[in-house]
Amino acid sequence: MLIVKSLAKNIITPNGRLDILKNINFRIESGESVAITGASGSGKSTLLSLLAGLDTPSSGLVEIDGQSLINLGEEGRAQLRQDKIGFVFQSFHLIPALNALDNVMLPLELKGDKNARQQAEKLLERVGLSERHEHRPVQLSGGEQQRVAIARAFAGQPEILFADEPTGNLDQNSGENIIELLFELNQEQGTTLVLVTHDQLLAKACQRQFQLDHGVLSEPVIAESKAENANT
Amino acid sequence: MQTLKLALKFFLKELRQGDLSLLFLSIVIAVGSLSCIGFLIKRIDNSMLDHATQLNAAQLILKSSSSVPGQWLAKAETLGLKQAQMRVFPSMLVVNEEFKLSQIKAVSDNFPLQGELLLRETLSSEPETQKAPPRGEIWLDKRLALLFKEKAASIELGDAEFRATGILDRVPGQSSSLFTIAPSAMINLADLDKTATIQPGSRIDYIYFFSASDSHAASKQALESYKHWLKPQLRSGQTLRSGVEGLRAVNANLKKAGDFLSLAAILTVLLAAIAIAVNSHRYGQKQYKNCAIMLCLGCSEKRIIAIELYKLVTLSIVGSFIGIVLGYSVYSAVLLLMDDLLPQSAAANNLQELIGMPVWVGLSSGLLLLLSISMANLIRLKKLSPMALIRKDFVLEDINSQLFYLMSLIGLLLVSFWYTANIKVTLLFYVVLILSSLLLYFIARFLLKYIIIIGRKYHFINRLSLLNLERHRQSVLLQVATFSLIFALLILIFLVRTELLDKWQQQFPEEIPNHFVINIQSYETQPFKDYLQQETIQTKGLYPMIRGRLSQLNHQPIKDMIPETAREHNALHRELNLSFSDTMPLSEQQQSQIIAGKGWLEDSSLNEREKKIIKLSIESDLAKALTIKIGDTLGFQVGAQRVEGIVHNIRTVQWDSFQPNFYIIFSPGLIEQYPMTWIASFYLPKKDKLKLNELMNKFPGITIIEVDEILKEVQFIIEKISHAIEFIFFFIVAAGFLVLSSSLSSTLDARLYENAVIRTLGASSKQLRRCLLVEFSVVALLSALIAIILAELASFILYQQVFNMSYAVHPLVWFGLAAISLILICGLGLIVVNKVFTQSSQASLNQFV
Repeated sequence: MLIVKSLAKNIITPNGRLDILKNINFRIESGESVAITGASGSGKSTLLSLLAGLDTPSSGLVEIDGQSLINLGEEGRAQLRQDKIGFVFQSFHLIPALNALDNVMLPLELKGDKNARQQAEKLLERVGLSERHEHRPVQLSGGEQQRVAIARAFAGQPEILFADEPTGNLDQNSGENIIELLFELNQEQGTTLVLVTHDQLLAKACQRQFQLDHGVLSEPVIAESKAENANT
Repeated sequence: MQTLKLALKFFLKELRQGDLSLLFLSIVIAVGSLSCIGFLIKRIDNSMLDHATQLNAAQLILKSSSSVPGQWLAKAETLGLKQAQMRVFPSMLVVNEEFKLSQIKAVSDNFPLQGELLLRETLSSEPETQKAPPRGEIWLDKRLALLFKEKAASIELGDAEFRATGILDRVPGQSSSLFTIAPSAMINLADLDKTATIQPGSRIDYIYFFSASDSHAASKQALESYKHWLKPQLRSGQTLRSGVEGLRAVNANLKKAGDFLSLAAILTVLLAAIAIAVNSHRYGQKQYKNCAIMLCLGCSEKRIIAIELYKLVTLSIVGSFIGIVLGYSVYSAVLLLMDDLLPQSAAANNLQELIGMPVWVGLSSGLLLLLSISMANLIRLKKLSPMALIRKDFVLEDINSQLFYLMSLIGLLLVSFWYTANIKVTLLFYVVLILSSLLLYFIARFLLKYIIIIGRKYHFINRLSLLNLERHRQSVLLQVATFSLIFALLILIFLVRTELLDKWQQQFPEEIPNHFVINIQSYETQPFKDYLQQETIQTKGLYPMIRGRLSQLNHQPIKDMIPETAREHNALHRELNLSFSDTMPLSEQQQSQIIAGKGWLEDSSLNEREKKIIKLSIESDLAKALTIKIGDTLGFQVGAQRVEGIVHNIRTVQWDSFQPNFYIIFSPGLIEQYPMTWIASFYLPKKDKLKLNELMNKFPGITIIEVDEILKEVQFIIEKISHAIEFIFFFIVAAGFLVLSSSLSSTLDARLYENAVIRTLGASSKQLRRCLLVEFSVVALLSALIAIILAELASFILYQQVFNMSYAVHPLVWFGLAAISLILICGLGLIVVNKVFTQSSQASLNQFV
C-alpha cells in the first residue's frame, strides 16, 4: 500500500521559490495499477522520484507498506528499494558492460540470492528472450532492451513497480507488446503498478489515472477494470 | 564477500567489453614504463657502484694515520665482512747502490677485495690478474721498472731484500693514496716487519678495505651496520668512505646523472599520471550513470563505492603486475640488444635483488596513482543523483575539479618522491610546473578566445570548426593543457639530456690533463715550463701552492666560532693548499665562478687603502660548511707564522675538471713571502709515459701524480651513463606518445556522437574531415606554443638550480615542436577519430541513447 500525504517539493531559484509539487495526497492499494499523466514540466518525474525514495520532499509524507520513507535514512531507503521497489525507465538504462542475463541477475545478486541465475533465466524466458542471454544491450533492439529492463524490474519480486514512460522510446508495435507484458506480470505477481506516461492508451489501461498539472494532482476519471480492457 | 564478487564480475565484464580497457592499458603503460626505468636506474646504480668499488678496491675504505684498535677489525670479522689491508709510506729502494724514493704499498694476501690488480711479467707481456705479491717478491710500477732496467735481480728495501718479479699495470685503490707520492712499489704485508722501515714517528697511512661477503641483501646490510657502528668512533686523521665518495670527479658526474634520472623518473610518473587521469576521468563519467542505475536497483551508496573501490584496486593490482612484467621484458630486451653499451654489473645478474625494489614500487605506485587520481570520481558518487535517469536528460555534473587536481597532485608528489628520493628536484619541479601551468592556462584561454573572435571576423576558420571550438572551449583547453604538458615534458627531458651529454663531452676533451706535478720549486718553474714546451707537452699553467692550516675566524680560534656540526670538517684537520693570484678567477681553465663578491681586479670600488688589504677568495662549499661570509677575516698558520686575509669573494669550483683547484686563493702582497711550491697539470699520451722519467731526472724534487687510469675510468663511466640516459630518453618519448594517443582517443566519444549528428544532417566526409583538421590544428599549435613556454621556463630553472648549467633559448626546438605537434595531433587525431567515418551514423547515435 502506498500512501502520500501533503507532499510538496520546492526549490529556491534566483527568481525566488519554485513549487514543483503542491500538497499532493493519494492512496494506492496493493495490486492496483495507476497512471500519472501530465504535460512536460508538470512535475511527473519529481513525483516519481519522491515516491521511490530517490529524492526527499520539502514537506509531506510518503509511506510504503506502513513505512515512512522520510524517516528512513539513505541506507534504509536503498534497502527498501531493494526489497520492495522495481523500476522501468524510458531509456531502459541497462548496464552496457553486462549482457541480458547479467542485467537481470543484478538485483538478485545485490540481494545475495543464491539462485540468481536460474531466476533470471526464467524471467528472460518469460519476457521471450531465452535466446538472447548473452547479448549485450547494444546488440538488442529497443523493444528487446525494454523487455530485459522489465525482467530486471520484476526479478526482485517488488511490491511496487514504478515505470517511467516505458513505451516512450519504442515504436507502436513494440510499445503495445511492452504494455501487454507489464500488465501480465503485474497480474501474475500481484505487483502495484505506478506508471508515468503521455501515452493515453497506456493510461487508459490502468485502473486509476491521476492528472498532474503545474504541481497539482487531480484524479479526473475513475477507470473501471481498465486492465482487462487493455488486455483485450 | 557478495560485494567483492560483484565487483570482480563487473571488473571482468567491463574489461572484456572495453569500458575499462583504456584505463587498464594506461595503468599497464604507466607501471610498465615506471618499472622499466626503475630497473634501468637500479642497474645503472649498481654498476656505477661496482665500478667505483673496483676502482677503490673495496666497498668501504678506512684510512688512518695510525694503526686502528683490534676490536674494529674483530667487529668486521664478526659481521662476516671481507677484509684487506694496505700500508702506504715513502721509502728508499736501493738497486746496485742506486737510490730511488718510492711509495711503498704493503698489502695483505687478499688484496684487492674488488677490482683487478693487473701485473705484467715484462714491459711487453700481456697483463694478468693477480692478488698480493708472494712473500719475498716486490712488484714495481712501470716507471720504477724502467728506472731499474726492467728486471732487477734484487732490490733492497730497508733491511730486507726482494726479488722484483712483476710490473704493476693497474692497482685498484689508487684513489685512497692518490695525492701522496709516486712512483710506487708493492710488497706483501707479511714482509713489512723484516724491512724495519717503519719506526715510531714514520709517516705511514694505514688503509683498511672492507666488502660485503656476497651480493645478498643481508651481507650489504652487515656492511651498512658496520659503517654506522664505526663512524662515531673515528678520530682525527681517520676517514671512512664508501662507493664513489672518494672520487670527486666521478661523484660530481654521478650526481648529475642521478639528478637526470630523478628528473626522468618524475617525468615518467607525470606522463603515467596524465594517462591515468585522462582515462580515469573518462571512465568515471561512464561509470556515474551505471552507479545511478545500481542505486535505483536498491544498492546503497556505501556498497556502490565499495564495489568501485574493489574494482579500482583489482584493476591496479592486475594492471601493475602486467605492467611490471612488461617493463621487465622491455628492460631485458634492451639489455639483450644493447648489453655492450650499458654499464656491466655483477649485481645485475642477481634477478631477485634487482627486482626487489622496482616491483614493489611499481605495484604500489600503480595503486597509489590510480586511487589518488580516481578518488574524486569515488567521492562524487557520494552525491549520486539517480533523478537524471528519470528526467531522461542524463547530464553529468562536472567532476569536482579542485578535489580532482588536489588528490592527483598529492598522489603524484608521493610517487615522484618515492621514485626519486630527491626532495629538491621533486619539489622544485612541481612548484615550477604548477605555477607555470596556471599562468599558461590563462594565456591559452586568452589566445583561444581571440582565435575564435578573429576566426569569425576574417572567416579563416570554417563555421563548423569555430562552433566546435567555441562550444567545447573548456574541453579544448583541457586538451591543450594535456598535450602541452606532454610536449613540455618531452622537450624538457630532451634539452636536459642534450646539454648534459654535451657538457660531459666538453668536460672530457681528448687532451684533458692526466698528470699532475707537485713540489716544483719556485726557481724550477721557468726551466720546467721550458722543458714542457721543448717536449711539446701541453700544460694548463703553473700555480703556486703554500701549505697552511685554517686556524682563526675573525681573530678567534675557528672551532669556537662555527657550529658544532662543522667542527669535524676535514679542512680544519689538515693543511690546506693555499694559492695566490693577481687575477680572479685564476685563469679561464680554472673553471671557477664567483657567486658572491667580486674579483679583486675588477672591483673598481676599492680605494687605495682597501687595495692593500689582503683579500681572499674561498670555495663556496667550504664557506657554506664553515659558515664563512664575505667580510670575515680568516687566519692561517703557515709554518710558524700567522697570515690573515679578508674574504672578498666566494666562488664555485669545478672539482671534476681535472685541473689544479684551490679552496683558498689570496690576493698578492703577503702570502708570496712564504715558502711555496708549484703545481702543474698536463696531458701525456700513454705512449709518451717514458718522458716522466726524464722529467724526474731533470727535476728530482718533483712528485708526479698519474691520474690517467682514474680519468679513463671516469670517462668510461660517463660514456656508459650517457648511453643509459639515451635509453631512458627513448622510453620516455615512447611513453609520451602512448599517453598522447590515449588522451586523443579519450575525446573520441564526444566526437563520434557529434559527428554522427552532423553527418545525419547531411555533412559530407570531406567537410567533416576538414572541420576536424582545423580543430586539431588549432589545438596542435596552441599546445606547441604553451609547451615551448613551459619547457623553456622549467629548463631555465632546472639548469640553474639543479644541473648548474648555463641556459640559452632553443629556437630550433620551437620550430621543430610546432611541426611535430601539427603532424602528430592532426595525424594521430584523424587516425583515432577515423571511426567517425567508418561507423554508420546510426551505430554511433545508438551508442548514446
